[in-house]
Amino acid sequence: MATNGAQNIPTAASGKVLQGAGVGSACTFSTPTYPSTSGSSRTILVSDGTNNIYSTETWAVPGSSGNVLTSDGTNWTSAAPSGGGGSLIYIQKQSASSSSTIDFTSVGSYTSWLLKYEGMTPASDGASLRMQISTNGGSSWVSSTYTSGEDSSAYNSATLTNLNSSTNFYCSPLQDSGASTSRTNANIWIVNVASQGTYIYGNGGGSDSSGTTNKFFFGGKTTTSGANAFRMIMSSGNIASGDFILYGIKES
Amino acid sequence: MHKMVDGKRIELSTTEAKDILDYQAIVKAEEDAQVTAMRDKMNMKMSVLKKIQSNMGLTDDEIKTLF
Repeated sequence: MATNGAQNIPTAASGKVLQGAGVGSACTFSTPTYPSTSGSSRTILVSDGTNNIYSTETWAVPGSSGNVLTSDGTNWTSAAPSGGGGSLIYIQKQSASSSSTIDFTSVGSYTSWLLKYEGMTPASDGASLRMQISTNGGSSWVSSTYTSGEDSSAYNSATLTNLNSSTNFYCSPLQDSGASTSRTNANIWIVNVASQGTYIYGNGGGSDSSGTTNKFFFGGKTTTSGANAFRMIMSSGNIASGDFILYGIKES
Repeated sequence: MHKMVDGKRIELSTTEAKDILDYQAIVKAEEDAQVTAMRDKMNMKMSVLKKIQSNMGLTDDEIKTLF
């Protein structure tokens, strides 16, 4: 029965609080208990699985904008993020469709990049994917001063096939065209080193027209410094298909 | 012929298409020369292996253990 009479307030175990049960319904006591006095400064109410108690650890006020909650081993403090500041910054994605070249001319003001390609297939059999750099935003492309190479092997084979180039960077082994199984994927790390040149290195894997998988790695250098645009091109024919995604590397 | 530049499809001028094809001809010639040299070297190795196999009476499986 609902009542306002103090003499009719029900009693309960210590620490329980009286709660409304809906208009017209009698109030009832909570199942969990609550502290009867305030906790230490900056502690908060937490459940211990049965009752609500004050936390042992204290929680900091938010602090400066951009701060994050950080454990000092005892309490939660507000602090500026430290470490982990570096990250990959997405720049752009391009898809090939019987394209002569895939050119990246808006690459940001980074000194290193990650260019990954996925599902790449050449239009011509026995062609390899290459990369040229530009130092003038893609107005012209460097076609010499490279010393690059790739090594590849078939699945379950330790026999490496080696190819080298002085006219561009190798970025894949020789590839088959056409078949749906013929796909190649790789990560290309590009690094501008002041007064030294531009370096790339990477690795990848794919499968040929018969479905046989292969794995490969590649790397090299051009003595031309200050790359600010990149061109993907086959050693012959077009790039039939494939996605090319470029990220800038924010180092801190 | 077209190129993709920052996500935009751009048709190649006659001059630009020729420049790319000329460049690819140089690149492919360099690549083909290496592939030919590599195959010649492999054929030479196989020839030597056949001689060793024949002279020593080795089976194909025994030869395969070398690789």
